[in-house]
Amino acid sequence: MQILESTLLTGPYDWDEHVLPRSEYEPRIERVRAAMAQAGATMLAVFGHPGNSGALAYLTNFTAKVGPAMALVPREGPLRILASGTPKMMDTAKLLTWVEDVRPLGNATKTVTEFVGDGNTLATWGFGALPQGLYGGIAKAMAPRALVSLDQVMDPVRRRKSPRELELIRGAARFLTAATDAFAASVRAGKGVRSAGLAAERAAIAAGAQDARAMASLSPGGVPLPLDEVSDERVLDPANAGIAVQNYGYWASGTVTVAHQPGPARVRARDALAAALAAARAGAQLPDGIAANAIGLSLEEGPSGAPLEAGAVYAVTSRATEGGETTYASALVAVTDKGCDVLWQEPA
Amino acid sequence: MNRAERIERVLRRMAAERIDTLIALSNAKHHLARINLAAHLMGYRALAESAFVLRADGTQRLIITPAYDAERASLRQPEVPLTASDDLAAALAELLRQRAPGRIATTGLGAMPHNLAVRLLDIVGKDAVPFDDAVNEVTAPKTDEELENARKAVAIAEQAHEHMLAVGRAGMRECDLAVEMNLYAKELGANDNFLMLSAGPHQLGVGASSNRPLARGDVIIAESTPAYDGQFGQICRSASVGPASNVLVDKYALLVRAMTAGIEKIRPGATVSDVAGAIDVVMTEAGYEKYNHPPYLNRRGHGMGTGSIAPGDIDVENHTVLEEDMAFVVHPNQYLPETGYLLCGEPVRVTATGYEALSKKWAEMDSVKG
Repeated sequence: MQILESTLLTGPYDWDEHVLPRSEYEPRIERVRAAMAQAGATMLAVFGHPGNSGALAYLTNFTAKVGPAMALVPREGPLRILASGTPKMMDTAKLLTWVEDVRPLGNATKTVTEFVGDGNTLATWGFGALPQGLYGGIAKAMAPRALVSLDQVMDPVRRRKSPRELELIRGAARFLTAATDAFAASVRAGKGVRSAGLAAERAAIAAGAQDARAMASLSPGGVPLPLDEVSDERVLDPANAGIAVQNYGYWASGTVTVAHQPGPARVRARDALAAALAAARAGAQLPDGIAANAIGLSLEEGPSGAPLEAGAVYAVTSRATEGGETTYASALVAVTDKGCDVLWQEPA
Repeated sequence: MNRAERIERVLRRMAAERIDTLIALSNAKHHLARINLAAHLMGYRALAESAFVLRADGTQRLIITPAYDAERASLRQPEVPLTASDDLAAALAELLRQRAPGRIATTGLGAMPHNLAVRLLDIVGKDAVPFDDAVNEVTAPKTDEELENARKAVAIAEQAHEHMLAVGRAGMRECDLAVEMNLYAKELGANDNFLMLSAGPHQLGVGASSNRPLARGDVIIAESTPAYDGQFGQICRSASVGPASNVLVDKYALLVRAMTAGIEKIRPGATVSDVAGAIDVVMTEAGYEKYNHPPYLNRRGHGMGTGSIAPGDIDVENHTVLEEDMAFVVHPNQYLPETGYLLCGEPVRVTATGYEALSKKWAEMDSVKG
């Protein structure tokens, strides 16, 4: 699910060691350092931004609330975070992470190259999203040494969820239920989709969500889209919603249809989802028409269309179209070697 | 000015620079204080990366991703031909294959995500002319529609501030207050909100809201910046938790006086430096010259995106000449040794003879329940 990026995040993102203790991060750091050693890199730079802090938060709990940020991970010794904002803003930035050394992003190229040091190799994670101007500056400063991407190594590691992470996603799933219920109740009460989306977001926040984003169709049975104009307030039947909620960094998302008189497409969508869930297990490739995207600290942890992986959590969506109107059914599942655990499913 | 006239300005600049095709690229970040000239020209806030292609003959095309966002794009900009794709680079390459682009200029390339930018660089070629400064220069004034949206955004900001005064109280977390203000602003019609809100008994600067609970004696400082149909409008406010002390009230009145002196300088032909300088004079005369510089402040205001952030930062070093229909916020926001960091700021539009205040009620020292 893709959402319009907010200019600034405001929810509760401070690191809470009772929720995610240092012991959760230590094996992650060990794993990434092993990958660095294998790649011959002495330093790793991890990029995050308000639209996706996934890799950054995975290692440090740091969410890029204000703007772009980086974590610098040496093979040995303490990590450093470079955060958007002025020096005066670093005290509040430090609350977001267990990393003690948090400094302004400032001249990131200079800071990164100094941190790496002469003759050493820089590994990267998440640099595909780095603004080209900054990427070019770092690459030029490091030349002739090439930047070594660890995305292919670390993304699968991040997709495999720990028991503690699964519990946080279950929490997010409870907030998702509150949100989808509120959306449905609002639509059934005759409200327009923008009001219903706002009701969903407010319900999720009231239930304890860190963030909540609701999108909805702009025409009957249309694709859920951002509701970024007041004119998006439309009374629709059926109304589709795509809702994402966040719990301590971990997302849950679902796509639902609310119709006063569900038609045969609804049955088809639900049957297709049920069949997909029955088939879901590690290595399985879900049938055409079923979308499954890995989810966790990012709304989309990729790769799309790949076989399901054990330990990963997926937002699974089926859809069926009739008369130009689309009906959705969706679920959130944790995939195992033998099947899947359903963490959330659109209520019948 | 309307959008067509903005495009005309760009076409004239393209002609002057012998540019045949302008490719304005958007990274889908629609920010208060960062330039996104593609969004500025297309009047559409893309869900993902997109491009606005303008030919010298005035032909326009919008290329958006993902393809499923086509319905929203068509609603927002029905008059602009649309290509909806899941692959921006491929769609752009196909468009340029259909008709030779001639001499290409680009905006926004450096802000595009690296993985996509390398493909776009291959397509536009190494001789493409960076055109960010040129487009930014000729599109500084807001359109009538953007100005009306700015007025609505500011009205929402003022209502959200009143809401904050009504619901804020000691014991409430900063972040919960900020989230409540965001939800309230959205219910009033905002599509986003750059809300920097923090609190403390003696702050050195404003920061993003944390989990810290408000305490009696704190001062809440907030840059409240809702966006209405994409246009941000900012007010800056301060409120004590519990009754404000006399010194707090006095020093805040000084900041408001300084802000007013700056705003009174606004008219076409004046410079941004004139505005910032007038603020500094008041603070200097009050004995705070030392505090007219970093680290005690960042800037005396700034433009309001999305799209263009002209006239830039309100700073004595900024000699940009003000033009009619520029819109920006003037905020003396700074640290004072007696009170800590305080925020006070009002958004304005440059008129033919002076300025229009976009806010109805100017800042004063407020308070919430202690």
